[in-house]
Amino acid sequence: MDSMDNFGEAIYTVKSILFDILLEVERRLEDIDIQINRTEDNQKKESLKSLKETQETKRNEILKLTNKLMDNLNSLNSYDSNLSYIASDEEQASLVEETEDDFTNEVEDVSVTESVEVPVSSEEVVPDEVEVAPVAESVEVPVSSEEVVPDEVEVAPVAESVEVPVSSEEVVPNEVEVAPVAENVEVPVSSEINVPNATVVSVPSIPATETTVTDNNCSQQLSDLSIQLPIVDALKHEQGQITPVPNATQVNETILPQTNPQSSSYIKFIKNGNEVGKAILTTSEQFAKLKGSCGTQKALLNLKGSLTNNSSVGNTNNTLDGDVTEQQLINNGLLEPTHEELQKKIEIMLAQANELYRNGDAKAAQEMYNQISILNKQLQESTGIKK
Amino acid sequence: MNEKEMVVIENSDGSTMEVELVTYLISEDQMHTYLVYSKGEKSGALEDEVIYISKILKDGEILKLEEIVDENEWLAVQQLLKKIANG
Repeated sequence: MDSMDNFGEAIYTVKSILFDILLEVERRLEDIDIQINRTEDNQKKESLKSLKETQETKRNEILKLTNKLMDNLNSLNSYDSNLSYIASDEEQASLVEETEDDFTNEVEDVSVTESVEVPVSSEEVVPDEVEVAPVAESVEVPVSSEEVVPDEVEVAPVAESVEVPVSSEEVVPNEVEVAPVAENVEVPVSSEINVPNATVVSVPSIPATETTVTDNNCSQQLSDLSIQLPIVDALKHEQGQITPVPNATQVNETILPQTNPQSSSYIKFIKNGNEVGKAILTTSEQFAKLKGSCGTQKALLNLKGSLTNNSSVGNTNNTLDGDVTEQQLINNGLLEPTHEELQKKIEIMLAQANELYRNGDAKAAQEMYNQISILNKQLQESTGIKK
Repeated sequence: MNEKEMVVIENSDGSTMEVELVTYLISEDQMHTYLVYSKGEKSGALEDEVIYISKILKDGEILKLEEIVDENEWLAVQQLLKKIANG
Protein backbone atom coordinates (compact mmCIF):
# COMPACT_ATOMS: atom_id res chain seq x y z
CA MET A 1 0.00 0.00 0.00
CA ASP A 2 2.92 2.35 0.62
CA SER A 3 4.19 1.85 -2.89
CA MET A 4 0.76 2.61 -4.17
CA ASP A 5 0.62 5.79 -2.14
CA ASN A 6 4.01 6.84 -3.42
CA PHE A 7 2.94 6.07 -6.92
CA GLY A 8 -0.16 8.15 -6.49
CA GLU A 9 1.90 11.01 -5.16
CA ALA A 10 4.24 10.76 -8.13
CA ILE A 11 1.36 10.93 -10.55
CA TYR A 12 -0.04 13.84 -8.68
CA THR A 13 3.28 15.64 -8.82
CA VAL A 14 3.60 15.04 -12.55
CA LYS A 15 0.11 16.28 -13.00
CA SER A 16 0.92 19.45 -11.12
CA ILE A 17 4.02 20.02 -13.22
CA LEU A 18 2.04 19.50 -16.38
CA PHE A 19 -0.44 22.04 -15.18
CA ASP A 20 2.36 24.44 -14.49
CA ILE A 21 3.73 23.90 -17.99
CA LEU A 22 0.28 24.26 -19.41
CA LEU A 23 -0.13 27.46 -17.50
CA GLU A 24 3.15 28.72 -18.83
CA VAL A 25 2.19 27.80 -22.38
CA GLU A 26 -1.07 29.60 -21.99
CA ARG A 27 0.74 32.60 -20.71
CA ARG A 28 3.05 32.58 -23.66
CA LEU A 29 0.19 32.28 -26.05
CA GLU A 30 -1.22 35.41 -24.55
CA ASP A 31 2.09 37.13 -24.94
CA ILE A 32 2.25 36.07 -28.54
CA ASP A 33 -1.18 37.46 -29.11
CA ILE A 34 -0.09 40.73 -27.57
CA GLN A 35 3.02 40.85 -29.69
CA ILE A 36 1.02 40.09 -32.77
CA ASN A 37 -1.27 42.93 -31.97
CA ARG A 38 1.54 45.33 -31.28
CA THR A 39 3.79 44.60 -34.18
CA GLU A 40 3.24 46.10 -37.53
CA ASP A 41 5.79 44.06 -39.26
CA ASN A 42 3.84 41.54 -41.27
CA GLN A 43 6.65 39.14 -41.52
CA LYS A 44 7.05 39.14 -37.81
CA LYS A 45 3.35 38.81 -37.42
CA GLU A 46 3.33 35.74 -39.57
CA SER A 47 6.17 34.30 -37.62
CA LEU A 48 4.39 34.98 -34.37
CA LYS A 49 1.21 33.41 -35.67
CA SER A 50 3.08 30.35 -36.69
CA LEU A 51 4.66 30.21 -33.28
CA LYS A 52 1.24 30.63 -31.74
CA GLU A 53 -0.14 27.68 -33.70
CA THR A 54 2.76 25.58 -32.62
CA GLN A 55 2.21 26.57 -29.01
CA GLU A 56 -1.47 25.79 -29.30
CA THR A 57 -0.66 22.39 -30.69
CA LYS A 58 1.68 21.78 -27.83
CA ARG A 59 -0.92 22.97 -25.42
CA ASN A 60 -3.42 20.52 -26.81
CA GLU A 61 -0.92 17.71 -26.48
CA ILE A 62 -0.24 18.69 -22.92
CA LEU A 63 -3.97 18.65 -22.26
CA LYS A 64 -4.23 15.19 -23.76
CA LEU A 65 -1.39 13.99 -21.64
CA THR A 66 -2.97 15.51 -18.60
CA ASN A 67 -6.20 13.73 -19.36
CA LYS A 68 -4.36 10.45 -19.76
CA LEU A 69 -2.62 11.08 -16.51
CA MET A 70 -5.94 11.70 -14.85
CA ASP A 71 -7.28 8.47 -16.29
CA ASN A 72 -4.33 6.59 -14.86
CA LEU A 73 -4.85 8.23 -11.55
CA ASN A 74 -8.51 7.24 -11.61
CA SER A 75 -7.64 3.65 -12.45
CA LEU A 76 -5.17 3.68 -9.60
CA ASN A 77 -7.87 4.87 -7.27
CA SER A 78 -10.22 2.20 -8.54
CA TYR A 79 -7.44 -0.34 -7.91
CA ASP A 80 -7.25 0.96 -4.37
CA SER A 81 -10.95 0.48 -4.05
CA ASN A 82 -10.61 -3.08 -5.37
CA LEU A 83 -8.01 -3.76 -2.76
CA SER A 84 -10.42 -2.61 -0.15
CA TYR A 85 -12.29 -5.88 -0.50
CA ILE A 86 -9.45 -7.52 1.27
CA ALA A 87 -8.93 -4.69 3.70
CA SER A 88 -11.07 -4.29 6.71
CA ASP A 89 -14.12 -2.12 6.66
CA GLU A 90 -12.34 0.68 8.49
CA GLU A 91 -9.42 0.54 6.10
CA GLN A 92 -11.83 0.48 3.23
CA ALA A 93 -13.58 3.53 4.59
CA SER A 94 -10.31 5.36 4.96
CA LEU A 95 -9.34 4.39 1.45
CA VAL A 96 -12.62 5.72 0.14
CA GLU A 97 -12.07 8.93 2.01
CA GLU A 98 -8.57 9.26 0.66
CA THR A 99 -9.77 8.53 -2.82
CA GLU A 100 -12.48 11.10 -2.51
CA ASP A 101 -9.92 13.60 -1.25
CA ASP A 102 -7.70 12.86 -4.21
CA PHE A 103 -10.52 13.39 -6.58
CA THR A 104 -11.39 16.58 -4.80
CA ASN A 105 -7.86 17.73 -5.27
CA GLU A 106 -7.97 16.73 -8.87
CA VAL A 107 -11.10 18.70 -9.36
CA GLU A 108 -9.48 21.61 -7.70
CA ASP A 109 -6.41 21.11 -9.86
CA VAL A 110 -8.46 20.86 -12.94
CA SER A 111 -10.12 24.04 -11.99
CA VAL A 112 -6.70 25.51 -11.83
CA THR A 113 -6.60 25.25 -15.56
CA GLU A 114 -9.11 27.98 -15.52
CA SER A 115 -6.57 30.04 -13.79
CA VAL A 116 -4.69 29.97 -17.02
CA GLU A 117 -6.82 32.84 -17.83
CA VAL A 118 -5.04 34.79 -15.21
CA PRO A 119 -3.44 37.66 -17.00
CA VAL A 120 0.25 37.75 -17.00
CA SER A 121 2.07 40.99 -16.67
CA SER A 122 3.42 42.25 -19.89
CA GLU A 123 6.79 42.72 -18.32
CA GLU A 124 7.31 39.13 -18.15
CA VAL A 125 6.34 38.71 -21.68
CA VAL A 126 8.36 37.03 -24.19
CA PRO A 127 11.23 35.48 -22.62
CA ASP A 128 12.80 33.81 -25.54
CA GLU A 129 13.34 30.62 -23.69
CA VAL A 130 11.29 29.01 -21.06
CA GLU A 131 13.10 27.73 -18.07
CA VAL A 132 11.74 24.27 -18.04
CA ALA A 133 14.90 22.48 -17.18
CA PRO A 134 13.83 21.82 -13.61
CA VAL A 135 10.61 20.43 -14.95
CA ALA A 136 12.46 18.38 -17.44
CA GLU A 137 14.60 16.89 -14.70
CA SER A 138 11.69 15.72 -12.71
CA VAL A 139 9.20 15.09 -15.45
CA GLU A 140 11.64 14.59 -18.24
CA VAL A 141 10.15 17.16 -20.41
CA PRO A 142 13.07 18.43 -22.41
CA VAL A 143 12.55 21.69 -24.09
CA SER A 144 13.73 21.78 -27.60
CA SER A 145 16.14 24.58 -28.14
CA GLU A 146 16.45 23.85 -31.78
CA GLU A 147 13.14 25.31 -32.59
CA VAL A 148 12.98 28.76 -33.76
CA VAL A 149 10.40 29.61 -31.24
CA PRO A 150 12.01 29.22 -27.86
CA ASP A 151 8.67 28.77 -26.18
CA GLU A 152 8.18 25.37 -27.67
CA VAL A 153 7.91 22.60 -25.17
CA GLU A 154 8.49 18.94 -25.87
CA VAL A 155 5.76 17.26 -23.97
CA ALA A 156 5.68 13.90 -25.68
CA PRO A 157 8.55 12.52 -23.61
CA VAL A 158 6.63 13.58 -20.56
CA ALA A 159 3.76 11.45 -21.62
CA GLU A 160 6.08 8.51 -22.09
CA SER A 161 7.83 9.04 -18.85
CA VAL A 162 4.52 9.33 -17.12
CA GLU A 163 2.67 6.56 -18.81
CA VAL A 164 5.33 3.94 -18.55
CA PRO A 165 5.90 4.24 -14.85
CA VAL A 166 2.21 4.41 -14.24
CA SER A 167 1.44 1.39 -16.27
CA SER A 168 4.41 -0.51 -15.05
CA GLU A 169 3.86 0.32 -11.47
CA GLU A 170 0.25 -0.27 -11.94
CA VAL A 171 0.72 -3.71 -13.32
CA VAL A 172 3.66 -4.87 -11.34
CA PRO A 173 2.33 -3.94 -7.95
CA ASN A 174 -0.98 -5.37 -8.92
CA GLU A 175 0.62 -8.64 -9.82
CA VAL A 176 2.91 -8.53 -6.85
CA GLU A 177 0.21 -7.48 -4.50
CA VAL A 178 -2.38 -9.81 -5.82
CA ALA A 179 -0.13 -12.78 -6.16
CA PRO A 180 0.55 -13.08 -2.45
CA VAL A 181 -3.13 -12.69 -1.84
CA ALA A 182 -3.80 -15.43 -4.29
CA GLU A 183 -1.13 -17.52 -2.67
CA ASN A 184 -2.51 -16.83 0.73
CA VAL A 185 -5.95 -17.68 -0.40
CA GLU A 186 -5.65 -20.29 -3.09
CA VAL A 187 -2.32 -22.01 -2.86
CA PRO A 188 -2.26 -22.70 0.83
CA VAL A 189 -5.89 -23.57 0.77
CA SER A 190 -5.49 -25.92 -2.12
CA SER A 191 -2.37 -27.36 -0.68
CA GLU A 192 -3.96 -27.68 2.69
CA ILE A 193 -6.92 -29.25 1.08
CA ASN A 194 -5.03 -31.42 -1.28
CA VAL A 195 -2.28 -32.48 1.01
CA PRO A 196 -4.43 -33.39 3.91
CA ASN A 197 -6.90 -34.94 1.57
CA ALA A 198 -4.14 -36.84 -0.12
CA THR A 199 -2.89 -37.82 3.24
CA VAL A 200 -6.27 -38.71 4.49
CA VAL A 201 -7.31 -40.45 1.37
CA SER A 202 -4.17 -42.06 0.17
CA VAL A 203 -2.16 -42.80 3.23
CA PRO A 204 -4.80 -44.11 5.48
CA SER A 205 -6.98 -45.43 2.74
CA ILE A 206 -4.43 -47.40 0.80
CA PRO A 207 -2.96 -49.23 3.71
CA ALA A 208 -6.37 -49.52 5.20
CA THR A 209 -7.67 -50.97 2.00
CA GLU A 210 -4.75 -53.26 1.62
CA THR A 211 -4.98 -54.25 5.21
CA THR A 212 -8.65 -54.73 4.89
CA VAL A 213 -8.32 -56.75 1.78
CA THR A 214 -5.53 -58.78 3.21
CA ASP A 215 -7.35 -59.21 6.41
CA ASN A 216 -10.46 -60.10 4.56
CA ASN A 217 -8.61 -62.61 2.50
CA CYS A 218 -6.96 -64.04 5.50
CA SER A 219 -10.10 -64.01 7.48
CA GLN A 220 -11.97 -65.52 4.61
CA GLN A 221 -9.39 -68.16 4.13
CA LEU A 222 -9.14 -68.77 7.81
CA SER A 223 -12.84 -68.67 8.21
CA ASP A 224 -13.26 -70.97 5.29
CA LEU A 225 -10.83 -73.35 6.80
CA SER A 226 -12.13 -72.96 10.27
CA ILE A 227 -15.71 -73.16 9.19
CA GLN A 228 -15.53 -75.80 6.59
CA LEU A 229 -13.87 -78.44 8.62
CA PRO A 230 -16.24 -78.26 11.54
CA ILE A 231 -19.15 -78.30 9.13
CA VAL A 232 -17.83 -81.35 7.40
CA ASP A 233 -17.19 -83.03 10.68
CA ALA A 234 -20.60 -82.02 11.89
CA LEU A 235 -22.21 -83.36 8.76
CA LYS A 236 -20.30 -86.57 9.06
CA HIS A 237 -21.53 -87.07 12.55
CA GLU A 238 -25.03 -85.98 11.68
CA GLN A 239 -25.24 -88.19 8.65
CA GLY A 240 -23.58 -91.09 10.36
CA GLN A 241 -20.77 -91.11 7.87
CA ILE A 242 -18.23 -92.40 10.25
CA THR A 243 -17.25 -95.18 7.88
CA PRO A 244 -18.35 -93.94 4.50
CA VAL A 245 -16.76 -94.83 1.24
CA PRO A 246 -13.98 -92.40 1.87
CA ASN A 247 -11.86 -90.58 -0.58
CA ALA A 248 -8.14 -90.54 -0.21
CA THR A 249 -8.18 -87.65 2.23
CA GLN A 250 -10.94 -89.10 4.29
CA VAL A 251 -9.21 -92.42 4.36
CA ASN A 252 -6.29 -90.81 6.06
CA GLU A 253 -8.55 -89.16 8.54
CA THR A 254 -10.38 -92.35 9.21
CA ILE A 255 -7.29 -94.43 9.36
CA LEU A 256 -5.18 -92.17 11.48
CA PRO A 257 -7.39 -92.38 14.54
CA GLN A 258 -7.10 -96.13 14.30
CA THR A 259 -3.38 -95.98 14.62
CA ASN A 260 -2.27 -97.88 17.59
CA PRO A 261 0.67 -96.96 19.78
CA GLN A 262 2.79 -99.52 18.02
CA SER A 263 2.72 -97.47 14.85
CA SER A 264 6.35 -96.70 15.35
CA SER A 265 7.09 -100.29 14.49
CA TYR A 266 5.11 -100.20 11.28
CA ILE A 267 6.80 -101.25 8.13
CA LYS A 268 7.34 -98.21 6.01
CA PHE A 269 7.17 -98.17 2.24
CA ILE A 270 8.28 -95.27 0.15
CA LYS A 271 6.13 -94.79 -2.87
CA ASN A 272 7.80 -94.01 -6.17
CA GLY A 273 6.07 -91.67 -8.56
CA ASN A 274 2.56 -90.40 -8.61
CA GLU A 275 0.94 -93.16 -10.59
CA VAL A 276 -2.39 -94.37 -9.40
CA GLY A 277 -2.10 -97.78 -7.83
CA LYS A 278 -3.89 -100.77 -9.18
CA ALA A 279 -6.95 -101.61 -7.19
CA ILE A 280 -9.48 -104.40 -7.22
CA LEU A 281 -12.72 -105.15 -5.49
CA THR A 282 -13.00 -108.14 -3.22
CA THR A 283 -15.86 -109.58 -1.31
CA SER A 284 -15.64 -109.73 2.41
CA GLU A 285 -14.89 -113.48 2.24
CA GLN A 286 -12.12 -113.00 -0.25
CA PHE A 287 -10.79 -110.12 1.78
CA ALA A 288 -10.77 -112.33 4.88
CA LYS A 289 -8.92 -115.12 3.06
CA LEU A 290 -6.35 -112.69 1.75
CA LYS A 291 -5.82 -111.34 5.22
CA GLY A 292 -5.62 -114.89 6.58
CA SER A 293 -2.82 -115.72 4.18
CA CYS A 294 -0.77 -112.80 5.37
CA GLY A 295 1.11 -114.79 8.02
CA THR A 296 2.11 -117.52 5.60
CA GLN A 297 3.11 -115.04 2.96
CA LYS A 298 5.23 -113.14 5.45
CA ALA A 299 7.00 -116.37 6.42
CA LEU A 300 7.66 -117.14 2.81
CA LEU A 301 9.06 -113.67 2.27
CA ASN A 302 11.17 -113.94 5.39
CA LEU A 303 12.65 -117.14 4.13
CA LYS A 304 13.17 -115.50 0.83
CA GLY A 305 14.80 -112.63 2.69
CA SER A 306 13.30 -110.16 0.37
CA LEU A 307 11.60 -108.01 2.94
CA THR A 308 14.11 -107.88 5.72
CA ASN A 309 14.53 -104.26 6.55
CA ASN A 310 16.41 -103.23 9.57
CA SER A 311 15.39 -100.09 8.89
CA SER A 312 16.02 -97.00 7.20
CA VAL A 313 12.92 -95.74 8.75
CA GLY A 314 14.30 -95.73 12.18
CA ASN A 315 12.05 -97.51 14.48
CA THR A 316 10.48 -99.64 11.94
CA ASN A 317 11.00 -103.29 12.24
CA ASN A 318 10.62 -104.40 8.74
CA THR A 319 11.50 -107.98 9.29
CA LEU A 320 8.42 -109.90 8.40
CA ASP A 321 8.61 -111.97 11.45
CA GLY A 322 6.17 -114.03 11.94
CA ASP A 323 4.17 -115.94 13.71
CA VAL A 324 4.51 -118.48 10.90
CA THR A 325 7.54 -120.73 11.29
CA GLU A 326 9.36 -122.67 8.64
CA GLN A 327 7.96 -125.83 10.05
CA GLN A 328 4.48 -124.48 9.61
CA LEU A 329 5.25 -123.59 6.04
CA ILE A 330 6.69 -127.04 5.49
CA ASN A 331 3.73 -128.62 7.14
CA ASN A 332 1.42 -126.49 4.94
CA GLY A 333 3.32 -127.62 1.90
CA LEU A 334 4.35 -124.06 1.14
CA LEU A 335 7.98 -124.71 1.81
CA GLU A 336 9.99 -127.67 0.64
CA PRO A 337 12.23 -129.15 3.39
CA THR A 338 15.92 -129.33 2.83
CA HIS A 339 17.84 -132.64 2.96
CA GLU A 340 18.91 -132.13 6.54
CA GLU A 341 15.46 -131.04 7.53
CA LEU A 342 13.98 -134.08 5.86
CA GLN A 343 16.41 -136.39 7.59
CA LYS A 344 15.72 -134.72 10.89
CA LYS A 345 12.00 -135.00 10.28
CA ILE A 346 12.29 -138.70 9.51
CA GLU A 347 14.19 -139.26 12.71
CA ILE A 348 11.54 -137.40 14.67
CA MET A 349 8.75 -139.36 12.99
CA LEU A 350 10.50 -142.68 13.67
CA ALA A 351 10.75 -141.77 17.30
CA GLN A 352 7.06 -140.82 17.38
CA ALA A 353 6.03 -144.05 15.56
CA ASN A 354 8.04 -146.21 17.97
CA GLU A 355 6.42 -144.43 20.85
CA LEU A 356 2.96 -145.10 19.39
CA TYR A 357 3.75 -148.76 18.82
CA ARG A 358 5.00 -149.17 22.38
CA ASN A 359 1.86 -147.56 23.62
CA GLY A 360 -0.27 -150.16 21.79
CA ASP A 361 -1.46 -147.82 19.05
CA ALA A 362 -0.31 -150.01 16.22
CA LYS A 363 -2.60 -148.41 13.64
CA ALA A 364 -1.32 -144.90 14.23
CA ALA A 365 2.19 -146.27 14.36
CA GLN A 366 1.72 -147.99 11.01
CA GLU A 367 0.49 -144.77 9.34
CA MET A 368 3.49 -142.94 10.75
CA TYR A 369 5.80 -145.61 9.34
CA ASN A 370 4.20 -145.17 5.91
CA GLN A 371 4.86 -141.45 6.00
CA ILE A 372 8.42 -142.14 7.11
CA SER A 373 8.80 -144.47 4.17
CA ILE A 374 7.65 -141.71 1.77
CA LEU A 375 9.99 -139.20 3.35
CA ASN A 376 12.81 -141.71 3.22
CA LYS A 377 12.24 -142.14 -0.48
CA GLN A 378 12.29 -138.33 -0.90
CA LEU A 379 15.49 -138.23 1.11
CA GLN A 380 17.06 -140.85 -1.06
CA GLU A 381 15.95 -139.02 -4.16
CA SER A 382 17.35 -135.76 -2.91
CA THR A 383 20.53 -137.50 -1.87
CA GLY A 384 20.72 -139.12 -5.30
CA ILE A 385 20.41 -135.63 -6.96
CA LYS A 386 23.09 -134.22 -4.75
CA LYS A 387 25.34 -137.02 -5.59
CA MET B 1 -6.69 -112.08 13.21
CA ASN B 2 -9.32 -109.39 13.56
CA GLU B 3 -6.70 -106.84 14.49
CA LYS B 4 -5.66 -104.60 11.72
CA GLU B 5 -1.99 -104.56 10.93
CA MET B 6 -0.93 -101.22 9.58
CA VAL B 7 1.94 -100.22 7.38
CA VAL B 8 3.13 -96.75 6.51
CA ILE B 9 3.31 -95.54 2.96
CA GLU B 10 5.24 -92.38 2.27
CA ASN B 11 4.07 -90.62 -0.85
CA SER B 12 6.40 -88.92 -3.27
CA ASP B 13 5.42 -85.51 -1.88
CA GLY B 14 6.59 -86.56 1.55
CA SER B 15 3.17 -87.11 3.00
CA THR B 16 2.55 -90.39 4.73
CA MET B 17 -0.46 -92.50 5.23
CA GLU B 18 -1.12 -95.53 7.28
CA VAL B 19 -2.93 -98.29 5.48
CA GLU B 20 -4.10 -101.69 6.49
CA LEU B 21 -1.85 -104.53 5.46
CA VAL B 22 -3.85 -107.26 3.75
CA THR B 23 -1.18 -109.64 2.57
CA TYR B 24 1.92 -110.09 0.48
CA LEU B 25 2.18 -111.81 -2.86
CA ILE B 26 5.09 -113.62 -4.40
CA SER B 27 5.22 -114.02 -8.12
CA GLU B 28 5.45 -117.48 -9.63
CA ASP B 29 9.04 -116.97 -10.61
CA GLN B 30 9.84 -115.79 -7.09
CA MET B 31 11.29 -112.67 -8.63
CA HIS B 32 8.73 -110.11 -7.50
CA THR B 33 6.86 -109.47 -4.34
CA TYR B 34 3.77 -107.31 -3.93
CA LEU B 35 2.09 -105.47 -1.14
CA VAL B 36 -1.66 -105.77 -0.86
CA TYR B 37 -3.19 -103.09 1.31
CA SER B 38 -6.52 -101.47 2.04
CA LYS B 39 -7.49 -97.90 2.75
CA GLY B 40 -10.68 -98.99 4.36
CA GLU B 41 -12.69 -98.19 1.28
CA LYS B 42 -15.80 -100.10 0.51
CA SER B 43 -17.81 -100.04 -2.66
CA GLY B 44 -21.28 -101.06 -3.72
CA ALA B 45 -24.25 -102.29 -1.85
CA LEU B 46 -22.37 -105.37 -0.72
CA GLU B 47 -19.64 -103.16 0.62
CA ASP B 48 -16.94 -104.90 -1.31
CA GLU B 49 -13.50 -104.13 -0.03
CA VAL B 50 -11.23 -102.11 -2.25
CA ILE B 51 -7.69 -103.40 -2.08
CA TYR B 52 -4.60 -101.92 -3.65
CA ILE B 53 -1.63 -103.82 -4.98
CA SER B 54 1.83 -102.34 -5.43
CA LYS B 55 5.12 -103.95 -6.31
CA ILE B 56 7.75 -104.01 -3.60
CA LEU B 57 11.27 -103.01 -4.54
CA LYS B 58 14.05 -103.42 -2.07
CA ASP B 59 16.65 -100.68 -2.30
CA GLY B 60 19.22 -101.60 0.32
CA GLU B 61 17.35 -101.40 3.55
CA ILE B 62 14.62 -99.26 2.06
CA LEU B 63 11.41 -100.77 0.88
CA LYS B 64 9.89 -98.94 -2.02
CA LEU B 65 6.56 -99.31 -3.70
CA GLU B 66 6.08 -99.11 -7.42
CA GLU B 67 2.80 -99.17 -9.20
CA ILE B 68 2.09 -101.98 -11.63
CA VAL B 69 1.96 -100.55 -15.10
CA ASP B 70 2.47 -103.63 -17.18
CA GLU B 71 -0.81 -105.30 -18.01
CA ASN B 72 0.62 -108.80 -18.18
CA GLU B 73 2.14 -108.35 -14.80
CA TRP B 74 -1.18 -107.09 -13.51
CA LEU B 75 -2.94 -110.15 -14.90
CA ALA B 76 -0.38 -112.43 -13.24
CA VAL B 77 -0.89 -110.61 -9.94
CA GLN B 78 -4.64 -111.05 -10.26
CA GLN B 79 -4.09 -114.79 -10.69
CA LEU B 80 -2.04 -114.86 -7.50
CA LEU B 81 -4.81 -113.05 -5.71
CA LYS B 82 -7.46 -115.41 -7.03
CA LYS B 83 -5.45 -118.45 -5.96
CA ILE B 84 -5.41 -117.22 -2.38
CA ALA B 85 -8.82 -115.55 -2.23
CA ASN B 86 -10.70 -118.38 -3.90
CA GLY B 87 -8.64 -121.22 -2.48
